[in-house]
Amino acid sequence: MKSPFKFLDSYTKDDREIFFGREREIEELYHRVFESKIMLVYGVSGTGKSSLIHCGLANKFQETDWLPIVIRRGANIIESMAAAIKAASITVSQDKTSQTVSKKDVLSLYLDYYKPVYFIFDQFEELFIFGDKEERRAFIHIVKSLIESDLQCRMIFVMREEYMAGITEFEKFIPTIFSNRVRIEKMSHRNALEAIKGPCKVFNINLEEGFAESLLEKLSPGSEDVELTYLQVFLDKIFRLALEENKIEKGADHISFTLPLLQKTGDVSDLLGSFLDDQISMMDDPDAAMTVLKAFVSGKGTKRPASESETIDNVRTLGKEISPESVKELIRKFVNLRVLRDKDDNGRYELRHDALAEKVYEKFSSAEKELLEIRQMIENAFQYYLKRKILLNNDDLNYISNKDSMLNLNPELQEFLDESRKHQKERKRGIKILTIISAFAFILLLSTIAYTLINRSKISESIFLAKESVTQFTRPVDRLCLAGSAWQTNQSEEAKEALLKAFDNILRNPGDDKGLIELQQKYLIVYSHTSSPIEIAECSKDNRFIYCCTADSIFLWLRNGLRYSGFPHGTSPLVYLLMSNDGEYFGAVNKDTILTVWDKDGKVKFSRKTAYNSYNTYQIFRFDPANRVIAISTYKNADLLDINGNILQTFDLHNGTVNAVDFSADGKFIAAAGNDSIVNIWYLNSDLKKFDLYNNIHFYSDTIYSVDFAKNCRYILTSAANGLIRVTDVNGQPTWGIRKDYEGGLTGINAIGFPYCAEFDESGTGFAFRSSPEKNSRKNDFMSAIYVDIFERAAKVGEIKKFDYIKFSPDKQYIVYSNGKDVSLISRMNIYPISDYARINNYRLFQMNGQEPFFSPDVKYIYTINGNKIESWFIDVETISRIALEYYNNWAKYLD
Amino acid sequence: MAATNELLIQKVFQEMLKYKPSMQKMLIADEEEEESLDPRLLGDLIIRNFPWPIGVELRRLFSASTRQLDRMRLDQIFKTIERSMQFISFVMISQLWKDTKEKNLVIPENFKKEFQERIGVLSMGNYTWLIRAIGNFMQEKAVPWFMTEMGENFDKKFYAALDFWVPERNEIGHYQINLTNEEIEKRCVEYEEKLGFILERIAFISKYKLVSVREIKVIHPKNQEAKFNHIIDLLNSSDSGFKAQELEEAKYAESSSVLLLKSLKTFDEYLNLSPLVIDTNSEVIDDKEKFDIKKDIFMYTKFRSDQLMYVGTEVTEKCDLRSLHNYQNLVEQFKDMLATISGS
Repeated sequence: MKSPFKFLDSYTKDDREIFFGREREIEELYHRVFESKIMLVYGVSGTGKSSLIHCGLANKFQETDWLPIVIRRGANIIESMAAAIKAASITVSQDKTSQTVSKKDVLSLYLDYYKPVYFIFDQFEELFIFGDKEERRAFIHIVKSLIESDLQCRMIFVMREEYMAGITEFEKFIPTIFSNRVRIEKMSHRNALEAIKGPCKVFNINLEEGFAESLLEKLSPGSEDVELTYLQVFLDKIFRLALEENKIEKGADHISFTLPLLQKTGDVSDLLGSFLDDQISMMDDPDAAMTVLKAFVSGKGTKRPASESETIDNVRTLGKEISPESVKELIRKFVNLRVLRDKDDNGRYELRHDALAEKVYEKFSSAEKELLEIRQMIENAFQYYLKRKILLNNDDLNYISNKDSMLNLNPELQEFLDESRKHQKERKRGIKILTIISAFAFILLLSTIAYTLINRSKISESIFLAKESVTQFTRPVDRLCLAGSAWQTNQSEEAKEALLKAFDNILRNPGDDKGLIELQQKYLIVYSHTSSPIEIAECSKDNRFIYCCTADSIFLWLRNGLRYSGFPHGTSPLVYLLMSNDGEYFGAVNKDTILTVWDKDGKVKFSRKTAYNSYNTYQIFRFDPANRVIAISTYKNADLLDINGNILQTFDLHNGTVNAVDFSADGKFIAAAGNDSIVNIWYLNSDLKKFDLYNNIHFYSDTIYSVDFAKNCRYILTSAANGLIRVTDVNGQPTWGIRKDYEGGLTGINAIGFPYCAEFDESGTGFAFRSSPEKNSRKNDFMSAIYVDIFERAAKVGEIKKFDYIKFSPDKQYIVYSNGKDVSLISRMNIYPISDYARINNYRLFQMNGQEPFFSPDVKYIYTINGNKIESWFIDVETISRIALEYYNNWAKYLD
Repeated sequence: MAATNELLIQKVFQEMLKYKPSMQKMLIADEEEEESLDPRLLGDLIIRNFPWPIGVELRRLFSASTRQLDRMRLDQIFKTIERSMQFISFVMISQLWKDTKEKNLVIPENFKKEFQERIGVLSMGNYTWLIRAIGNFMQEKAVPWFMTEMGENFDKKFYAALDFWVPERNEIGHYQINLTNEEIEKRCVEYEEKLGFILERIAFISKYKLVSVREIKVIHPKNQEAKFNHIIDLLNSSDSGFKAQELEEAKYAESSSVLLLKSLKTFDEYLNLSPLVIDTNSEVIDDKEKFDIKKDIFMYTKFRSDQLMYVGTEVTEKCDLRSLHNYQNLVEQFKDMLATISGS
């Protein structure tokens, strides 16, 4: 005859007939489950949370209204969730290998059954005991995306209340997570009587008058509450005793619970403890048996599911040498003795109840507890290492100390530990070297200061010569010689100004001098005219080409001025044009929102519809170093494409239009920002060759118009519709920010307004932004720039801080800007000693003609758009000064 | 042979498309992603485009648990047809009530008497009577329908199709005759076809939106016209996580009510279905006595001894709603409806 009592198991849907005493809780759960898409069910261990869900709540639903998907964490909660969905699905997913969960999978599951899907995360505390931060983060994002969708799914999290604090990590992303929660209390005496009498009646067990009351008094004397786990174990024990007592054979259906029988049960103050001791003492080798059971307990004293091989590893950690065969044999024995639950679909066994885990945990020595915790830490760090290649840090290694010899780690974990130690050793050596270098640098600095003081008089002389070159002489060669002399005396900003002006004067007006004409031919590059005005122009990042577009065509020149190609781009004007990093492809977006990619000879690779807001048209797409393209697609999505336009991956976590996308310089991160005030960051999973969600940053309160990675791939720059520009690291930590009422340099009429696009300079220490005085507009727009040396500075000329166009040079030396048709080169302020004028202003070095200036990547040239042509301006001071000094040394030849 | 539900879904969807061509858009596969259309979406679209009380029963009918041709499916077909008739009759009663008040329609005495007898306890027989009697009366008086499509779709053939279900329900639905498994299978196929006919005839409801008005906020800035911010739940959904929406209007609709709207963009034309259809989702459970109130959309079933009784749509078990904050108001409304239509 089968016992009607559950011993250490939970009740299931089939146990409806014998599930008594929980009507109030079931009603509350059934009532609350419709209140929101998430329900949190918590309570201390042994209050019957799982039974309430799997039996009580499940039986409240009609068959047609309840599709329960029960999920335990297993090795990884997301993989387990994906596997549970897959197992329940009738329609096979196209992506059979996927180990993550998408909205499509959940929709497909609903459409298979047309029943609302209830994801039940049982023993949810396992995520906080065994999971790492990355697993939790990724899971939070999945939960968030599912509850924010209109999918027919709800989530029930069942967990022990000691771990509720872990949920606060969810609260940051899902603020309402705590709002629908149900605490399961211990069962009252009154209901416990029903839980005894009900099943007995169903199973035709005679109950002597007063038996149930006496049983409860014996189990929890003087207490109002009853420990359900103990009640079930006790009832099971009495049932077995009664069977024996009445000598009823299998198949018989009538037994009695009597008061004398109750007396025979003896002391029940530690029912589980004595049950466990009884089972262990019956084993051939009790010590080994206890060690095997310890392998199923976590460092927190909770259940720890483990496969056979994991159990063998865990046993070794505890410092016991038990043969694998013996471990397997002991596992089988414990399954038969109802101590362990048989293996699940993932091949994992576990203790039947957390209450048993607590009892086993009491047998741990403090040394064993410590070893267990260390092992858990190494395993978690190893999982993280497999995904992110981050080794253990110095603190972790100090904590582990040399105890790994006692852990008997498997080769994989041992290798990871060794590698971490090696890495830390090298790091320490690096720090040592750095300290030595720093000491040298300090000495050098002192010397430099001394040298500067000594040469102060030379500075004054250089300034004097430079000013003479600019203002007193008219013959180009004289000006160049004097500028060379000023530079030789001291390499001041004034001398630099004199050199640039004198050399440009020569290139534009060489006169009849053969040598000067040769200089013009060598350094003044002339680009052929285009048939209509040039609208966008830039230098390719590999420094090979100059490219531009007019109303209907795209043109490409080699740097030396030879035209390479020219081809029509269509009738719709372009709003953005960009060349790939290797100079092999063009990408452009036109006003009809069509993105087209050509090779450099003008052959179309692909065309596709894109979407963009009309303000920031500069970050609709980007190339990565491998010529993949990230582009905003038509609706709330961004797509990753290969160079032929095939979709490699779609990024669909946004709840509003995507406004900007960017690749990090190494192609490993992708960022997308949009109207939902969120920046999603994705990281290349090199194993799966797919981008996984890395982080989403949403402390913005308004539309985010632009996003841009710094060159070092660690920081992102964003601008939001509320006028906020912010630098954040990829982990979401804000590092710097200004808003529209910024007071650090751009106040009053110079306020930054409402920036709609902000981009880092090449060094990541400065950024330029496009902005409008009006919110959500490009009316009266302007550009400004801000950079950081030891202070934070606004790029300015006198009091002017707003420009039509502004760019930083890649070498951090210059800024070039245009206002109207005037283009100026200014020095980016640094901390070296310069004149008082330069100390409060960016030093203005050189004026040019045209608009929308840009630097060549080697910073030897500036180019400007001047109507139908591109003009070049040679600014390489090193070359110019060398030439100037040659002339200066032979100046006598040129003097009249 | 077509799979269970397949023909029903195809036919009803095609009919819905006639009234709401925009549904086709939801089925356009994304060519760029080279995806093929998922045919399972049709059923979901039908569920979402019928008002919730009908949609939820269809979801149950389409569910994997009722795809076998067995007793469970047979019962669900009955439930679906009964809930559809109930909803349609409530819409018709609501219009009759409104038009009688506003246009002073004169209702014949025999109609008044029978209406009073039948409205007290609703059953399938009473629904068919209500639909036919109100339909004929409105046609006779040439009163324009709120749902204009009712005129062309509610004809003799439709009424006859409704009549079919009453004896079937009484005999089979209430287990008065025992059926063999073979007989049940046969009935399932036959009933599915007949249910399809009724659903095709009422497919025009997809043009209309069922909403629950949670709250109306008055926004009245100085020296400007007042505006009314309506916080509504859209009750066209395939689960009870109804989507909330805010609508700002110069006019205001009726608060704490379930409305049938011609368009979600304006409250210009609507039909208030309260107290026949009510929503308890916004009820604040602030008293011990309210603990038993379930959050759901409820449909009226009985009026006895000054008490209104309802049946839930998601929560199918009985629920005592007497502790609702506006319960007395609902009773007053119901009495007003009785007085207006039946004169008592």
